[in-house]
Amino acid sequence: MSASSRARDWVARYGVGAALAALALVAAVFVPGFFGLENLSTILLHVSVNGILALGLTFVIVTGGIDLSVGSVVGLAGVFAAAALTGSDVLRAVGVAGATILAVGVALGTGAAVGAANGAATAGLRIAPFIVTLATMTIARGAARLFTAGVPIGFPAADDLLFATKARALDALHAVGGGRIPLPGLARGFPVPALIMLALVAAGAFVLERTRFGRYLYAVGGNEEAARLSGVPVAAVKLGAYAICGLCGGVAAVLLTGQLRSAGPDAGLLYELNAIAAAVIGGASLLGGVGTAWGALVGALFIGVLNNALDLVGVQSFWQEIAKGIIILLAVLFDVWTKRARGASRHA
Amino acid sequence: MRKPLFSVLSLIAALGCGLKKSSRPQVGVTLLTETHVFYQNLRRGMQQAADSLGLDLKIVAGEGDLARQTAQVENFITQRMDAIVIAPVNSSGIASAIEEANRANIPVFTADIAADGGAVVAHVASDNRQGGQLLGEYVARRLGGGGNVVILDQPTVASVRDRVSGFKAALAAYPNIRIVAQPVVDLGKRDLAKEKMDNLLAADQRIDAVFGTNDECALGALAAIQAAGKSGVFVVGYDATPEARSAIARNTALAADAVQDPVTIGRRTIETIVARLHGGTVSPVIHVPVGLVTHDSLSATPP
Repeated sequence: MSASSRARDWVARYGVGAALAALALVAAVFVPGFFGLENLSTILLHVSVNGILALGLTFVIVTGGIDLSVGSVVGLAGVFAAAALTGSDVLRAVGVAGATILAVGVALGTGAAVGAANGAATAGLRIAPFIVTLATMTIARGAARLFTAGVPIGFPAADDLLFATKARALDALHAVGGGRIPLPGLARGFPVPALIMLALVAAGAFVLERTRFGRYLYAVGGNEEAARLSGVPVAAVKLGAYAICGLCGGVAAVLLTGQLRSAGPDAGLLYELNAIAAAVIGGASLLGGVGTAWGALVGALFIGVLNNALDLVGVQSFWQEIAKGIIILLAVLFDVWTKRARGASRHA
Repeated sequence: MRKPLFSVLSLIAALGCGLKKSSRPQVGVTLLTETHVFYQNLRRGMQQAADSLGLDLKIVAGEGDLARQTAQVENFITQRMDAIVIAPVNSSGIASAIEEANRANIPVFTADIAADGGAVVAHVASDNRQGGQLLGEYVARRLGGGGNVVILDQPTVASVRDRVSGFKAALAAYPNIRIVAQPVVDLGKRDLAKEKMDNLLAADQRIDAVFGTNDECALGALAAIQAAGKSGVFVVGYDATPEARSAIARNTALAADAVQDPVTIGRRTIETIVARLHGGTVSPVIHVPVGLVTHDSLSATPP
C-alpha cells in the first residue's frame, strides 16, 4: 500500500471527525464562549433528537434500505403520548407516575409498531422501502392531524378540573425531555436527552459491531442474495432494522414532547431528511453495507454545530440551509472519492 | 478534495465578520419565519430602531419548527443575552422556552404573536381584532347589509382568531349577512387556499364576499375566482403585501386589505426593550393600530 492510499484510508476513517473539529474551531473564532461547557451541553441537547433518529436510520441504511417515515412517527408517537399523559381518565386511574410511564410506553410502542410495519412490507411484500415509508410517512402524519384535529396537545384549559394534575404530568415528562442532571462546572446541569442519546449510540454501536444481528445487517446490505444463500434470515433482519428505526422515532417523540410540554401534529415535520443527512455525513452509504453508530452521532453533531454557530452569529436561516446542503453534497462526494480510492488500491 | 470544505468554512467565516461581541446590549430575536414579507418588514423595523438606539441584534427564525425555535431561545440563554424577543411558532408550545429564560432572569418580549405561558415583559402586536372589525365593516358596507360570506380561517393562530372574532363582531349587526363556510387553510398557504376556494366555487351556493385571513389566503381565493371566471365576488385580505396592493390597484376581485404596520411593531418592540433595560416600567400589551387599504386609498397616495 502506497503512502498516498494510506493517507486516503486515514481520511476515509477520520475525515468527518477532523472536519467536525475544524468546523468547531472556526465556530469558536466567531462565537464567544463556543467551547464553554454551557454551550457544548446545549449543542448536545439540540442534537439529541436528530442524533437518535440518525442512529435508527443507520440501522436501516446499513441494510440498503431507507425510512422516510421517522419524522411523521415523531409526530404521531408524540401526540399519542401527550394524549395518554394528559388524559383525565388515565390520570384518575393510575396517577401522574403511572400516566408518565404509560406515555413513554405508548410512544415507544407506536414507533416500534410503525417501524415493524415498514419492515414487514419491505421484507415480506418486497416493496421498495422508499415507497413503503413514503406511504407510512403520509399516513402517520395524517393520523396525527386527525387525532388532534390539528391542535397541539399540551397544557389543558384553565378551567379543566384536573388542571393541576395535568400540569404535574407534563412536568414529569419534562423531567425526561428537558431535565438536567447536576454536574460540577455546569450551572444549569447536563441535559438528560443528551445522556439518553449518548447511551443509545453506545448501545447501537455494540449491536452493530459486536452481535450476530449486527453482522447480519451489514451482510444483508452488502449483498442480499449472498447473505440469503449463506443462511442469513434476511426478512427477520430487515424487520428488526426497521423496528429499531421506528423505536428510535418513539424515543425522539418522548424527548421532544417532554422538552416542549406540548405535542403538535406537525412536530417532526421533515426530520427524516435531517436524520438521513446526518447518517450520510457520518459515513453511511445509501447503497447499503456501510455505516456506524458513532458516525451517525458525528454527522448529527456536524449539523448541530453548524446550526448553533450560524444561529449565534445571527446568520439568516436561508444561508443555514444552503450551508447544510453544500455539506451533504461534500459528504457524498467524499464517500465516492474514498470508495474509488479503495477500489483503485485493490486493483493495484 | 478537502479544499471545497475549507472554502465553505471560510464562507461561513466571512458571513460572521463584523458581528463580533461588543459592549452594547445584546438582544436575541427569533422570528416565526423569514420567508414572509411581514416578518422581513418587522425585522427591518427592529434593525432600524436597534441601530439608532445602540443595541446589537441577533436575528434568527424558527421557520415553523417549534423545537428549532426552542433551541434558538436556549442558545440565547447560553449566550446570556440582555433580552430575548420571540415571535412564537406556536403560542402554547413556546411556554417551556420562555420559562427557561425566566429562570435565567433574561427578560422576554413577544412580537406579533403572543405566548400562552411563561412570564413576558411586554407583547407588541397589531390590534388584530380592530383590523378584523375594519374589514367586517367594509364588507357589510359593500354588500349593502346582505349576502353570503366565506372565511378562509387558520384557527391555530392566535392573531388570526382575533381577526376573525373582530370580523364576525362587525358582521353581527347585519342579520342578512351569513357566513356560509369557514374552511381551515393549513399554515395559511396560498395553494391550499385556492384549492378550498375552488371547491366552494364549484358548489351550488352563491358567494358574495371572501375574507382571507392573511394575504396568501386572499390571493389564493383571488386566483380561484379568476380561474373560475366568476364576477360579483369580492375578496378582502390581511397584511397588504406588495402583491396584494398591486391586485387591489389593478381593480381585481381583491377589493381591500387590512394593513398592519410591521415596521412600527418592530420599532416599538426595540423601544420597549430599551425602556425596560433603562429600568423603566412598560405596558404589558402594546397595540399598534391597523389601517385599511382600498383601490381609492391606493390611488390617493401613490407608493
